[in-house]
Order: sequence, then structure tokens, then C-alpha cells
Amino acid sequence: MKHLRDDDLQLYLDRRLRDREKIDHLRHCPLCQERLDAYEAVFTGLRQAPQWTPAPDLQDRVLQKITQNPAESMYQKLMQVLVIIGLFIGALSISLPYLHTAQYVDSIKQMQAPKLTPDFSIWERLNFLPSLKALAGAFDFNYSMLVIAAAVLLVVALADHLIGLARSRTAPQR
Amino acid sequence: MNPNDDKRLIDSILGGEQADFAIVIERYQRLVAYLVARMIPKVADRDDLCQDIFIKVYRHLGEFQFRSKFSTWIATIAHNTCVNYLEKKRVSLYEDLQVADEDEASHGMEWIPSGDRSPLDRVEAHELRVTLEREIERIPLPYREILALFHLEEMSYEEIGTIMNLPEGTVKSYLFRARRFLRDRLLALYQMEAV
Repeated sequence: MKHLRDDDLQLYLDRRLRDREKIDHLRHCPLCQERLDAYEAVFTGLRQAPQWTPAPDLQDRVLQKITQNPAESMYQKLMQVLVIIGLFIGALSISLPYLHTAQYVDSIKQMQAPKLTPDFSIWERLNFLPSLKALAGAFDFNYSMLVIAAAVLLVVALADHLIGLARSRTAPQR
Repeated sequence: MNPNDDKRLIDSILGGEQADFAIVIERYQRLVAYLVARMIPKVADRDDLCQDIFIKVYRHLGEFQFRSKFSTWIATIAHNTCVNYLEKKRVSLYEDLQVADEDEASHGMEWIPSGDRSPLDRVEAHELRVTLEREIERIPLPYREILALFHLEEMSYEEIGTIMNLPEGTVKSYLFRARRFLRDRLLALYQMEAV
């Protein structure tokens, strides 16, 4: 009989080889036995592979999320949005004078802005944000108030996050 | 796991006993961890993914129809969550594994033994495991996943096919190719060392 194919050797180790003739050959053929041994080493290694285990607090974190009040969850999402808005406006106001695009320079000129220099005060930078100005105009609202509101919300959201963090650290573990 | 146990547990959670979900996590976190570890190379992201998977299981618990085992359903959610994560990270999911065609070999076996003991017999078990683990990390994703589900969770081809949305024949073919690839790699490494 011909030597067993690799698939047959794997089937044998999976205990799925049903062909008696092949099983008999395997028992009496040293070459096939040696090939089987090599596969056996792989199979044993696969069963004993070192495993990664999740952090021990997985259960607590999942239960905390699923037992959370939907209103509380909405509040947390709102806080996250406020942080993002606050950070976006802050980053824009700081970086704007350095973005020397033609469109921006034109808009500055049209508004007769002070000279564009890095020592431009933050307040002045904010006052020449054309998109915010347009937005404020549309709502008949002093757009500087928007920036102040965003900054206040950012502070509130960060404070809320820090309080939540402190609470979770002091909460008893399940 | 007894399906009746799972049914009682699910009914209890759906009935409002949220705390019973801890038992689901306890029972199936090993399965989820096996899959996540095999599919996600970045260790720092694995804990968050495990958390997301169990939250999805909880949110969709009412949709489980008992047409498959609960473990298969959970593993399917784990698989899909990991695939979505990898797609977002633009990781290639469909690489192939190059294994020599067995029929091309003259004797129906591409590796011809010396008639002596297998070179792998001479390697210390711990060293072999470490080498094997390194080699598993090198093989494409679907092969790694199938190896974990078959050898660590002892799932059938059918169950693995359901989880990965693959035909049973493909699961079997991938499994055999992956094991053959690993055997060839180990033999090549240790035969070379012996020379």
C-alpha cells in the first residue's frame, strides 16, 4: 500500500480517519509513523498554546456599562461632544494666525484686521474667525459668546470626567 | 455547556436580572479571549474589544433564537466585531497561505522522513511551544482563527463555518493547510539546526 497522505495523517490525529486499511498501514510503517510524530508535535503545541487573558476587571466594566441609566449614558455622550467642540474651537483659534492661506488673508483684509503676527492676542484671533462671525451674524448673536460658552462647557466636561474618575477609583470592587 | 442552562440564564437576564450577565461573561470570556487574541495583534486594544463584544451580546440577547449553540452565537459576534475593527485599521483580512501541493510530491508526501525519530521529538516541549506560537503569528488571519476555534474550543467545521461565514469545506481545507504549513516550518527550522 502507498504511504498515507498528509490529510490522512491529520484526520487520524483528529480521530476522524475511518479507513481500516490506512490505519493498519500507519501502525506498521515507520516512515508514516515518523511523519505522524511530526504532526503530533504540532497538534500538541496547538492545544497548549500560551493564551492571552483579559484584564480581571472585564466583568465589572461590562456590568457597569449595561446597568448604566440611559439618561446617564446620554449625559456622558453629551459631555464628550462638548469636549470635542471645545478642543476644536480652541485649536482653531490658536492655529489660525499660522495658517497663511490666501483665502484667510483676504478675509482678514476685508475685515481690516490688525497685522497678522504670531503675537496676535487670542481674543483678536477669535474675532477674526470668519466662519464663526458669519454664524453669529446669522443668529444675530455675539459670536465671542459662543467661544466663551464652549470654553465653559469644556471646563465643566473635564471637571465632570475627573470627578467620575475619582469616584470609580474609590468605588468598592465586586 | 447545557443549552437548557443557557436558556434559563438568558430568560433571567431578559427578565431584568442584569447581574446574571456576569455568569455569561464568566462562561464565555475564555472563548472570546481566544478569538480576540488570535485576531488582534495589538495587545493594548484587546481589552476594549472584549468589553465591546460582551456589551453587544447583552444588547442583542433578545435576538438570539436558539438555532445554534449560544457559544457559536457569541463567537460570531466576537468574529464580526474583530473583523470590523481590523477593516477600520485597514488590515488585510484575506491573505492566502502558500503551502506546497501534496500531489506534486512524488510519494504523496513532500517531506520524506529519514527513518529515524522526528526532528521535533528532540526539541524541548516549552521551546517548541514558543516557536510554534511565533509561527502562528505569521500565518494569515482566517487560518489563525480556525486553529484557535478547532484546537482550543474544539468546535466542529460546521460551527466554525457559521461563525466565520465560510463553507464547511473551506474551513476544513484552511485547517489542514495551516497545520501542514506549521509542521513544514517547524521541520525546516529544527532540521536546519540539527545539520
